[in-house]
Order: sequence, then C-alpha cells, then structure tokens
Amino acid sequence: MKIIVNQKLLVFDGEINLEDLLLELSVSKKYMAIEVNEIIIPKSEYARYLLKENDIVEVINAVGGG
Amino acid sequence: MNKFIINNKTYNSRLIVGTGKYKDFKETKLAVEASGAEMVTVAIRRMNLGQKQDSPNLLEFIDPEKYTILPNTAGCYTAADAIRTCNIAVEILNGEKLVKLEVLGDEKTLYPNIVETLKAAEILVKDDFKVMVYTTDDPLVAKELENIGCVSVMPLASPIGSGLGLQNKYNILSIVENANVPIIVDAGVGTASDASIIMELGCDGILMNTAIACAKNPILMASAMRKAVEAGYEAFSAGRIPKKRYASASSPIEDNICNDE
Repeated sequence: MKIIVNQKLLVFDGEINLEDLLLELSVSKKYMAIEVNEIIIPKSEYARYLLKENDIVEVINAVGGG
Repeated sequence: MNKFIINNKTYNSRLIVGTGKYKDFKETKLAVEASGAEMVTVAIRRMNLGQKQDSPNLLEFIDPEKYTILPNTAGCYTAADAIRTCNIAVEILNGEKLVKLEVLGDEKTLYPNIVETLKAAEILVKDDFKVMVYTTDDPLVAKELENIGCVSVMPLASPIGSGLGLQNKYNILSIVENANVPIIVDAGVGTASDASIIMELGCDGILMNTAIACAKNPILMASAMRKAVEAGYEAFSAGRIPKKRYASASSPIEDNICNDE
C-alpha cells in the first residue's frame, strides 16, 4: 500500500493505522498533529484509523517562529 | 500601573518573544529565559521526518507548562490557510485556542493582507478562538479587529525583521488611545531604544523575534529588551515632563552666595 507522508512516498506491505505509522516513524504523540487528506484526525482515533491507498498524511508540529 | 491581561491571564512581563532564527533550541531557551517573557510564539510546520531518530522538539525546550505558547499562522496568505493552521495548532497544543493570526500580503514586505485578516478573524472568533491579530498601523482597521472580538490587536512598528523601529508613532498613538483591548506592537524593533519608545506611547506590550535572535549576542540582547520594555512602560506610567524650548534650573535660584543682588 502506498501513502504519502510529509510529501514522501512510503510503501507498506499491509494495512497500517496511524498509531503504527507513528511507531514506524519514531514520532512521539506529544505536541503534534496529523492531517489525512487535509482533515485533522484526533489523537484518540489514531489506533483505529486505518490508512487507505494514496492517502496524503501530514505530520505537523511546532517549530521556531515569530 | 495597569495589569497586563491576555485571555484572562495576568502576565508580569510585557515582552512576548518569538522562537525563530536561533542557532539551536538551547540558544532559544537561554534567550527566552533572559528576556523574562512568559508568552512565546511558535510556527506550525511539517515535522522533519529525516534519518535522525528522536530529533528534539522545540516544546521540549520551551515547556508549555511554564510558558503560554502562542502558535502563529506565519506563511499563510489566505484566510482559509490561516484557519487550517489554527485548527492544527489546537490539536498540537491539546485544545488551547489562543492563536496569533497573521495573514500576509506579499513576500517582499510581509505586510498583512487586511481583507483576508478580517475574514479569518471573524471566522476564528465565531469558532471560539482567542485571536491576537497582527495588523497594519491603521487605526480604523485596528478598531474593526477589536470590534470583531480579537483579544489583542498587534500593529506593526515597521516590516517584520526590518529592525527599522517605530515608523508611524502617531498612528500607534491613535490605536492605543482608541483601544479597549491590549495593543501589542508586533514586528520591526531593532534595538532596545525602539522598544522603550514604543512602550512610552502607552502600548501594552511588544512582540519581537529577529531583534533578539539575530543580534550578535542574542542572550544579552534578550536581557536588554527585557529592561527596555520595563523602562519604557514605567516611564509611560510615571508620566514624562512636558518639552520646553528653554532651560529650567534644577538647583535653587535663591541664596546663591556667588550671586548676591
């Protein structure tokens, strides 16, 4: 299954949910957000949110800024 | 002296600082500490998912339990993009709805696009966001943003990152005089005296980033800005003397042994 995560193509053997995607990417759930196809997915739904082929995922956080 | 209250929280420091353009997060942390600021701005961006595992997160250095984190919409050029960014910020910050709205017009000036700013402010306020809004130094626009329900109006002193200091003193004065929400001058400060001049007008606070982060010694400049903001506000509160064209002696005129009449 192919998905786009932060503008990069990632390929997985089978289905993957957001919780497992974050594990795969070594990303902590603290102070971050995820959009799938421009819709924010609440953290409480990560474990049951299954990604679909060609989904566009954005993993977003706070960075330095004025 | 008046208290500095934003969104029902009282702050001791009237200086709000940005976290951009620093060498690393350690320097950011030290400069924020030296500035005495209790509210800091952050930007919302894609996470860097590079090769490096467990790369540090800004909010591990600037603890949201200790500081009020003010996410901005920097880099947004439409109301829709700014609103999208604000909604993401709420998710990142676990439900906090205080945001700095900035909708930019063009890359050269980074001037606010007022049409889009007004549009975004209306929608965000209706959606219960607490909006601190970056705007031009136009007094009518500032009042309109207050009427929409923004919790603070933040006119520029001069373009973002320019270091030109306050360019339109009388407009800022008009904005301050007409305001019922805190007026925080955002952008354009170059050095400490710029900050004092702004505070001496009666502004409630100043937001700055580049002047500190890009100084040769950011931590020392952060300390200077802390003092300048405090000094300017105290001088405003104390009430300055009127300007006169000629001298007025500080020592008594009478009983001068060298000048008996």
